[in-house]
Amino acid sequence: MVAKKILIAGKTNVGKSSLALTLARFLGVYKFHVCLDRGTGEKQWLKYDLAMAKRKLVSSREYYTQGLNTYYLEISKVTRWQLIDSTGLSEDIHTSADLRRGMALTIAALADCDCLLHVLDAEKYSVNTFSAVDDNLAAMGSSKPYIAVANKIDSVDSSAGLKNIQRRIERVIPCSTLTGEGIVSLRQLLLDKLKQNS
Amino acid sequence: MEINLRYGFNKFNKKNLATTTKEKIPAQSRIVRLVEQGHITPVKALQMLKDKDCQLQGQKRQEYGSDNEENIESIIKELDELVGLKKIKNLVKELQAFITIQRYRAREQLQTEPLVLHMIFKGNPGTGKTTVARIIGKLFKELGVLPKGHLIEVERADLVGEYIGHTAQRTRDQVKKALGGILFIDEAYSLARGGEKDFGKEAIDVLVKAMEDHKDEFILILAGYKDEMDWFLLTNPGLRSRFPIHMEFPDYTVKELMDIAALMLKKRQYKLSEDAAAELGRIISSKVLYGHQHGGNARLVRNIIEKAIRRQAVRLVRKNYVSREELLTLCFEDLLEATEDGS
Repeated sequence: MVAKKILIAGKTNVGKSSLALTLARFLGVYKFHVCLDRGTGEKQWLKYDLAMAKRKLVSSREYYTQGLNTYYLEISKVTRWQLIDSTGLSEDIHTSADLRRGMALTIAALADCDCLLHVLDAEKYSVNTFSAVDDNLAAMGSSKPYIAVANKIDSVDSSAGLKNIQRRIERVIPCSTLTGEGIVSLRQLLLDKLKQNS
Repeated sequence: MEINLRYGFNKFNKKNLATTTKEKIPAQSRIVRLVEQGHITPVKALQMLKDKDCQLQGQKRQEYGSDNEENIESIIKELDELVGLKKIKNLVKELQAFITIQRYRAREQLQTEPLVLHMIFKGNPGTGKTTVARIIGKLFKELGVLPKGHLIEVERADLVGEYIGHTAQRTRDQVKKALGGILFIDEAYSLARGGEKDFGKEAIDVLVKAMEDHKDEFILILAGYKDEMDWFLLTNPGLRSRFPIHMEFPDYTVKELMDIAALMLKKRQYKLSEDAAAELGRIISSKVLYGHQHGGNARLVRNIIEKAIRRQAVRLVRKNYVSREELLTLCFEDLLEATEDGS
């Protein structure tokens, strides 16, 4: 059985890596293999548990994830998912060549994933105008299974941002990787989408 | 020698492989490379990827697109077939062009004007307001502005209730029915006629709120006599700015009314005898000149013709034998009796 590929994409520092690990936790997968691909030709295989992965792969720094981190999640004997955590996309051409390579990998992965999990930052959109990155990622929803997630709703000033996002994207799941709020419904939706797909 | 050969073979094989994969996913890998080398922004790459997806589904979409355009064309043709209304036709075509171009601009990520399409129709009854509204609904559906494009036609009595709170509920119900299409309020000025304490004011407030809440979901058209509508907008200055499009429906001229009559007769498969045609012209021009209440509108023509058709039926039913020609023709006396009744 081929593992379904779920790509987590969005702007930088919206909580993509954090969402990947939280999702794994909610799926009941505590140990997994991770493949780190920086696009240099070499791939790094690691076996992590949740705590270790969180320490190593999640950070509040911008562009902490460089390249694709693929989590091989064995959910049951017959169900396997590849949860692909990706480099955040920038609006402009980034000056760092490494990051550009990472973004290129994100875009390549975008073309062949089974489901796109688009993460937006509800906290940021309370003040910022809507970004072209998010507009275009949302537009991908018409050609492949697509789920939009508004992260960081635990933050105090996220409600205005959530409203802003909902104005632009029809169906958004509000959630928080910090408190785990909304992850259950996200998991359900993912299972449904992938079932339709197969 | 052997090694060389093998080497050559391998090289050939590799090259072959490379070209086949390149052919398979040329655009995609090119886009990815462009991002990596910093030639394009990730945003641009996403757009290109999307365009490529569109191309793959291109066949289907193109068919759908041409179908759409055909529909738009037939709607415009329907509009053109209306007699007179030159200014209105131009305005509707202007709107069509405006919407299309705004779509194109949005696709290129250029600044777009907000599409506020609420309208005021001014004109006497029977000058084509409802007909044009219906056509606009259909047109906007094809242009993708409205999902359904249906027309809900209401007047004061449908909106205003009998007790406090009733009006808001009724008005909201009508708005709900109109979502995805057009809410057409005939004689809209009557909502403001009763003064401050009248429930009509409540209806206006609810409508204004609905226009905010369901911004892009329906289009509101307020229709009524020109003078009354002007007064209505003067007394409600907030309304004026919310309705950027004003259409004036002038009374039809005698010639236009004659054209309308000809069209109506053709649709109903009747024709006028020569003297009957002259008589119809005389009736219409006298009505227009003497300022009949329906003077200069299509309803007048329809009433005359329908009456004449009934008179003809009465005249023919007494006969033993009726020819096809007689069935088709309306005579002078049919019209004569039609007008004597003062319709």
